[in-house]
Amino acid sequence: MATVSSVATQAALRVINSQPIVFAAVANPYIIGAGASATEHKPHITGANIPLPVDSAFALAREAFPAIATWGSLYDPADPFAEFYLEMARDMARHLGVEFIAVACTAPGDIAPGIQALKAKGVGGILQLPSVMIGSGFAAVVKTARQIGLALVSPNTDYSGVPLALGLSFYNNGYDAGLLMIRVIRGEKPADLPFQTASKRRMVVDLDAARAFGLTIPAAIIARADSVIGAR
Amino acid sequence: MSRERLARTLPCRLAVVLATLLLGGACGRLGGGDRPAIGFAQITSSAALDQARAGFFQALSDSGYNRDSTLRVLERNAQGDIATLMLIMNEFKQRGWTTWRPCPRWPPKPRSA
Repeated sequence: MATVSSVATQAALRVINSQPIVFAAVANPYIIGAGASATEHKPHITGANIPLPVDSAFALAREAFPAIATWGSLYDPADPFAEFYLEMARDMARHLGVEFIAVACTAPGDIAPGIQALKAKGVGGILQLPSVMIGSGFAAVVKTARQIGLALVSPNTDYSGVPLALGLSFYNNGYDAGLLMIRVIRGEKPADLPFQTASKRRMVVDLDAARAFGLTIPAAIIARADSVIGAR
Repeated sequence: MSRERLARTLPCRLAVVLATLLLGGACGRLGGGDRPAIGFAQITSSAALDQARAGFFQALSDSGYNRDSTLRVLERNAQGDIATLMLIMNEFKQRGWTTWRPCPRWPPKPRSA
């Protein structure tokens, strides 16, 4: 069977003990117990993982908006990768010399109040950490941040309305998982198929979104972007 | 669980339970037919996960595995509900959608005109 997301893959690992599992959209398969390395993993599972570059997106956020000294994010405590990404963001904040504040969010209905709480704590920009639940309500992140005047940067390029994003392609990640599924269908054993890690990063600048947020993206960043949306 | 969340996920839960009860033991291993069959489970819909799903099925299609013609797919979306997700996994397990008969020569080559 195929699973999309870490949560679905974790559930499959709990229930399905021997039949093949091919996963996609999993940040870190090792944290959820799929294996110890790309080649040393449970014999019935393989897949394509996508570790989103939170650290690089944070560095880009700092470069784009140097006046912002305090960044923040919502996080879902139930997400298996919450701590993984929080630690990455905290490490990068120390490296960049800025403050990073995280507020827990346990349901889509908590997103808007959560963003407002970050603003109340002095946050000037949102670097939204990856989360399945928060991702399903990402429009509320965009809308609330825009309304209350917070910058928004994402390590995921699939969301619309985000002024600046640096991430990996979930489409390509799913495609890689599909290629693994074909090999399994044709008789290869998952044990013999190493996990495939997405690595091709993509920077997206949305100038229309930036204008709506009242932000100016530096020309040097626009020049490096892989994709520029909206009129210059 | 809130009433709103229960109302949102109830149809999906009922479908999974009914499918398991009605088809579980009776139809055997659905992956055992002449076409490969896969179960596909998604926790919820979001821009990122939907992109991954699209890429997954595109890869299969590019290699000749097309849904409903050369590949059977049982797809489930838990709508963000963990309890529903566990029901889905148990459904896949009971219905045999976690397995398939390896088909090294599948799909068949198109016949020349």
